[in-house]
Amino acid sequence: MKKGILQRILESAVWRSIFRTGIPDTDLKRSMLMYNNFFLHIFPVKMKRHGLRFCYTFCLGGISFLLFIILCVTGILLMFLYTPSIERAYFDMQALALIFNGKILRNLHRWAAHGMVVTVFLHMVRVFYTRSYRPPREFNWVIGIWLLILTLALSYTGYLLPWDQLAYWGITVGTTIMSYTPFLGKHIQYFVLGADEVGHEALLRFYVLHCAVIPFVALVLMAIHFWRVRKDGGISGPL
Amino acid sequence: MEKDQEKVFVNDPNKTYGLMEIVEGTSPMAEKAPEDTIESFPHYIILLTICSLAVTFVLFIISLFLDAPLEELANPLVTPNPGKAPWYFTGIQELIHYTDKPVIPGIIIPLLIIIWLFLIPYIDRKPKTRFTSLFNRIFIGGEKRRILIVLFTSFVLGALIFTLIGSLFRGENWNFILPWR
Ligand code: HEM
Repeated sequence: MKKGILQRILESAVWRSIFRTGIPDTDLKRSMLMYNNFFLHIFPVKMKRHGLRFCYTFCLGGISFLLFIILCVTGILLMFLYTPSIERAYFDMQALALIFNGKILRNLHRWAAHGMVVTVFLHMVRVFYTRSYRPPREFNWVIGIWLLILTLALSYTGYLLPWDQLAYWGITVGTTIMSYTPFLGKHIQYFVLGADEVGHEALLRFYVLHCAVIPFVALVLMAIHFWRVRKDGGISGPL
Repeated sequence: MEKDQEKVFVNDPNKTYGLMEIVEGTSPMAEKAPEDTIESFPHYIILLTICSLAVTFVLFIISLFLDAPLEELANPLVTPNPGKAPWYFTGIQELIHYTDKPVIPGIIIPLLIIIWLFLIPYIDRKPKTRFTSLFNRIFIGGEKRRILIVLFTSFVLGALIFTLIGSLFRGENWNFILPWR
């Protein structure tokens, strides 16, 4: 029988040099496929049947991470089109609407960000009700709470960047709440804004935090979070 | 095969074991008790792909029809009424509205909630001493953790309700409004 074009590609030297395993038609090859692939090797080769039940995790942690990746991709694209200065930020946003698919880019980033706040919170709720924070998973819960805080911080710092009324007053209200802290309030507010009120310094601070510092810290914590899920024995069992 | 895996394999010390039969299977099961695992590929990978595509698709549809807001240029001289924080903080704003000591709902309560969240896995443990079992009875509510569940559920519902009120049902001067009016 003549070989089909697909099979020829799959058996070619080039393909085999990239994907060493070949067609995964045995369990060994299925395992190797998971094990030898850079992106798949963070997953175990075999999983508990229970852990795959949608109604246990609702995939909320995974969806949070997917949204985070979408946010990184769209966010980096937005960085090409945005200047963090109070003279230009707002007009860059307006110009974005005129660029091919610029609006969709911004929409994707905005709705994914809101979505991530929701899914991370719901993920925490799921983990609580399945009591998955019990030993040995206590510390992963702690990392999770940090991730929740960082997710809120990411969303909040991004909120200022369009430099419209919504952004300006949203951040003003938020930092005013911070200034209610006893003794340190005004200092905290000054530290966050770099000035007494929202202005150029705040925009620059929020920009750097939003595009570099917080995503980086969050990514490191997520790496530890996923590592710990595996080291703690995979998804927790039923109650 | 399927049926076998549901029972847990227990070695009876009074019996001897030997090779009786060779069964059809896709992987060697030597020296392994039947465990309820399956290959990640393809079972998990299919789930992962479908889930990721579905989420991305829904996000695209939303972004196609719903535009992110962009109001007027920021103007420190024009204070909008009401000035609202991002939606996930409007619950706090709503609480602040009820009191003239904003530090309590604005700082102290959120801080206490965060500390309590951090501590949950360390207080919900099997009690070992008399003290910890008393502690457990007060803050967790025994093996069924009834008290903890009540507390956590009220936290989630409270966050939901106050956030909804703060972001949708509050208009000028933080007066109550109906969003559909
Ligand atoms: C950026 C935020 C987060 C991401 C991307 C993330 C991701 C994940 C993923 C992919 C899993 C595997 C199981 C699943 O999907 O449910 C997981 C498990 C877990 N997460 Fe998160 N998570 C985040 C935040 C949190 C938060 C806020 C908490 C709790 C406070 C938390 C606590 C846990 C725990 C304890 C597990 C183990 C659950 C089990 O074994 O059943 N995570 N996380």
